[in-house]
Amino acid sequence: MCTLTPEKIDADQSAAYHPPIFLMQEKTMNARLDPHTFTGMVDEQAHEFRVATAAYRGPGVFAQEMEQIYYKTWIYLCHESEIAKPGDFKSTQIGTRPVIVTRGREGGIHALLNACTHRGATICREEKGNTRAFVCPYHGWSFRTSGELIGIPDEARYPEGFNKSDKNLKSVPRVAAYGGLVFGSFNPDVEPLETFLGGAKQHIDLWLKRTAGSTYRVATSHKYGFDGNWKFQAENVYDGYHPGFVHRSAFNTVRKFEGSFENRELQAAVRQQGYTRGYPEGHGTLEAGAPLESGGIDPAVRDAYNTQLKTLYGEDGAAEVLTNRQFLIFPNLTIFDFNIRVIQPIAHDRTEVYSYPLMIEGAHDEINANRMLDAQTRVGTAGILSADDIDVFAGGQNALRTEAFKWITLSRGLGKEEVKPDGERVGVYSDEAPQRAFWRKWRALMAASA
Amino acid sequence: MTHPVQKLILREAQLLDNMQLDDWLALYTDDATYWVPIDETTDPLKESSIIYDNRLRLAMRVEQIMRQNRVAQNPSSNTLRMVSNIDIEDIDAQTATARFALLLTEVRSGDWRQKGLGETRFFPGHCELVCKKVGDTWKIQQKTIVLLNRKQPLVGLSFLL
Repeated sequence: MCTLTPEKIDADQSAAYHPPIFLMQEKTMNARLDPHTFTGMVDEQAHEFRVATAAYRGPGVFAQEMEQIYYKTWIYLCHESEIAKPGDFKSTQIGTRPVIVTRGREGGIHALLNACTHRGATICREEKGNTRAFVCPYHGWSFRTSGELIGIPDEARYPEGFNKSDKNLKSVPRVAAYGGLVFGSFNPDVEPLETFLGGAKQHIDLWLKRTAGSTYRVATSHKYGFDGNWKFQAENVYDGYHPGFVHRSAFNTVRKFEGSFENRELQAAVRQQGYTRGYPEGHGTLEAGAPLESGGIDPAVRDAYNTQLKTLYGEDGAAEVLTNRQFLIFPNLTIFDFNIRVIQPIAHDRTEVYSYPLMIEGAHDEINANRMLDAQTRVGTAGILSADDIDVFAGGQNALRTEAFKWITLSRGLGKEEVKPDGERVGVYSDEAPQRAFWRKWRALMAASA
Repeated sequence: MTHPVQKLILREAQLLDNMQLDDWLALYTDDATYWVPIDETTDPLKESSIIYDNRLRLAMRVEQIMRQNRVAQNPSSNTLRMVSNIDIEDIDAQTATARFALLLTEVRSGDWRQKGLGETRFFPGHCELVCKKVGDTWKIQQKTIVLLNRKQPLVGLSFLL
């Protein structure tokens, strides 16, 4: 019987062999668009930056995004605190591929495809947990949390020379962490994680300083979904233009309930203070230039925390740490002051959002309770902010499904932003500088030949 | 005779379905808590909940929906609450606990053809109340709604459960 190894197929191809369609699956199932099509979807001129509405719709674009972005670059997997102990695991996805992230017996972090190497059954059906081994429910093959194949029931019936060494769970080839954030990549030749993070690294460092020398622990995630493209949520994270409109109802409510949230000035529809930044690596920030805190916390507890920050980082350093800041690490990880938000693409018109409140290990209970309620009340499933955002995203998907409407514009601050020698662009709070950085990166990855 | 707490349970469902949210809020004591857990075995100040509100945060939700024209309630949700399996236990003359089953059906109409609208959604859950007699009136001091689908993505909850 003929067994086709990938090497063999390649060799046969040169001799005019046509591999069966099922071996080409991901490439033939979705009609591939010419990479130049994507170059044309992002149109940057001196006076306008436009994105084609076609970039938000259709299974074709989505499939190619999975291939060119989600399976080519670094994608966030989890926070280290979610898999703190040996045997801990968490189910997640890179793009639409199901992945289990684990802590092995030896303490290393592994990312494995959630598919039994025997017949492809799903081996892990839980969201998270701790286990010594994954045992396939179908025929009982078992694997260590490192992915190593431990046992095959009634193994003697397999042929002489049956190769077990390639029957370990398939590993995501690259896994790396920075600041407790664990990333994986299906691309074995992906650039080093720190090179990928580029300009976002300094913002991660600042975010880590909020722990005042401790570490973060993520709580269970809020989960909500919307019938719209994942990029609507990505573009929204650092959009300083929308709050006075989409969130007017929340701001007006907060103003009426003095002390509920100790907020910065909420009168202006378009905030005039603060910054946006876009980086050549595709990442971007929204920085308010002022802190954003909740009310209802004992002033003595807050003072003690602030004093701790001042002792560690000085007066100016502490003020910088406490500045309200949110940033997107391309393509789908968002870091807020109080939570981590993961944007999970499901289909071209379906997205899920997972929002993990961030606790500080060893901090005063009241500080952590406050962070918990903040992340929950503002941007959780029933948040006074996020439910309104996602209603706009569904509306956006509805509007952009008409091909008669060809372009949206992301031109606020274009030509007025500061462009630094290293490519960082700094705009005012309501500029679309970070969105442009996102789309430049998107175009570069999508247009790259496969 | 119908237990006054049973009347309270039905009255609450009716006020919510009728969007009389200010009257609904008045059913709660000043020290009330309102909890929609993700994991009902954990401490809501240490682990995530869908909602863990005190009276102030409940009042803010009512304000945002009733008077501040929130985007995600435009068009607004229409709801139907079916309440059954009511089991009330008197603790003392001023305190009673209750458990009941809830099936909340919600739909936002408007231009029903648009994404995000026109879908009929279901929120089934187990509810628990701690009720207090304040003067002559029974009020809700604690409400817990344990949704069946609490551990998976929900639609953004811009209305009250």
